[in-house]
Amino acid sequence: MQATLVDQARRGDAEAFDSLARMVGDRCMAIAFRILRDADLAEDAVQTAFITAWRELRSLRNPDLFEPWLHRILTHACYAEARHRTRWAAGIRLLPAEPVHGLDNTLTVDDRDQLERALRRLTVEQRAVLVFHHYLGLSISEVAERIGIPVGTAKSRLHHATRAMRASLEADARTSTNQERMA
Amino acid sequence: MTAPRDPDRLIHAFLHEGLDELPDPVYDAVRDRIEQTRQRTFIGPWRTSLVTKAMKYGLAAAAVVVIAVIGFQFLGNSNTGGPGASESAEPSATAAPSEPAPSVWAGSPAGPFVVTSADDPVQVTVNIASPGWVPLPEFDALSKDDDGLDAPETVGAALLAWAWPAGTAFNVYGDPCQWSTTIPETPATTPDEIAAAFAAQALSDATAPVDVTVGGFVGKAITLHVPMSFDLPNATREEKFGDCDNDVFAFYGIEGETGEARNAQGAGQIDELWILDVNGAIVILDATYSPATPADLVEEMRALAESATFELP
Repeated sequence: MQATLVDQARRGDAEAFDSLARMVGDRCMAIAFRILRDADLAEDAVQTAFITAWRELRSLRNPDLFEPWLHRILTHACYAEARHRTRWAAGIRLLPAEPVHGLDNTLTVDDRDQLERALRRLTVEQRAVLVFHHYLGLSISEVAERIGIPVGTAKSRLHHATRAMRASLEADARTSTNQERMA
Repeated sequence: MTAPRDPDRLIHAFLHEGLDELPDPVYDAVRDRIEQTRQRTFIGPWRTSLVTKAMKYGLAAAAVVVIAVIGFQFLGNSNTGGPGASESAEPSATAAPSEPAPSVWAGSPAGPFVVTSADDPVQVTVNIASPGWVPLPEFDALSKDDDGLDAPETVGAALLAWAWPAGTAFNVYGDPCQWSTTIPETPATTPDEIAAAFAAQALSDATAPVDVTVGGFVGKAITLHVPMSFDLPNATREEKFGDCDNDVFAFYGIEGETGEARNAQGAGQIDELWILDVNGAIVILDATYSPATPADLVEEMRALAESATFELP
């Protein structure tokens, strides 16, 4: 079904591309939001990725690989949005202002706060690896292929990102323990 | 006492939280944009004004092409020689071909073929002497072996035949990457000036301009190159030229027109130009290919360019 729509869209069928976009849009938004931590930027990145995909669709040789190909375009669109924000935004929100879905009971408010802060301190490239690995469940080699980077680079980015995230949780745990002792 | 918790599991859980729905207005905005956005062929993008014009007159141009193919069935040009060759020939818009060619090869045109649109200031006809050339009427071009890839990977090639009226001012950028800030103070208007500007262009590693004659009209030939340093595997054109103005590597623009006229599509791209003065009008035949294009296809394209004849309306 998806491959058929890709094939039609490659021949200039805007209707087919629209259907295709609606098929994969939510997942793209989820990825972009998790990388960028901002709903507006994520929407812009997804929109940019779709326009780029439409324009470059003829260069996609295998219609079955549409979504992985789109994810790579989306990742680069996220990088561009992040750079744009860094360049122009005066202030950066540290806590998510967007409504959060799918809350996990194992996470406390403090966990979320610490993880959000830690995530925002990572580079956008490190965040992308983390998201493709944890959210999409891809292996390191799959992440590398999806983003278009060497496996070693993906491994290194994941290592640094995970270490930073763990450190933030551990620091929080130490602070909590100290507060309990002092109480 | 707090139970020990697995940080990896917490990270995993945290990354599953958050927005996961793309709002409808984004789909609507995408739909609006793609209606106005042309999908690229492997040798695009093209000069905007030409595309707009071609879309406007598309049907008329197609009709003219059909008529022209029939009308010029037995007309052509016997010119030969590389882009560096300097030949003299009697100016003539048309000449008899040495031997008749078939009118069509299994779906691709053969023999004399009008590449330009009906409303172009010069009508450019080439003699297609081998099968496989595909007309791109919306771009005033012919391509062969379009594999959907860009340089340096593509094995394809394309010949563009673009014509401008007398007096057109060409902005040959001082630097094709920083093109928006290196627009010359004085635009070029003749083949000599245009070629000299290309020869001085940074990054293009241009060959020295040489005199040429095509279809009886004189001009300059020069070859431009896009540096391989722009090669980024698995990247889009925008990413490859991400450090350039508007993510575009632009050879030249036209004074009074918005944006750049002719852009590069990939690293290592080679453009052999024949810049001709056709009774004051400027015609640029642009044979574009990649390092992976077979030498015999490049030769075939050169012969195609040098077979060009010109007619003024």
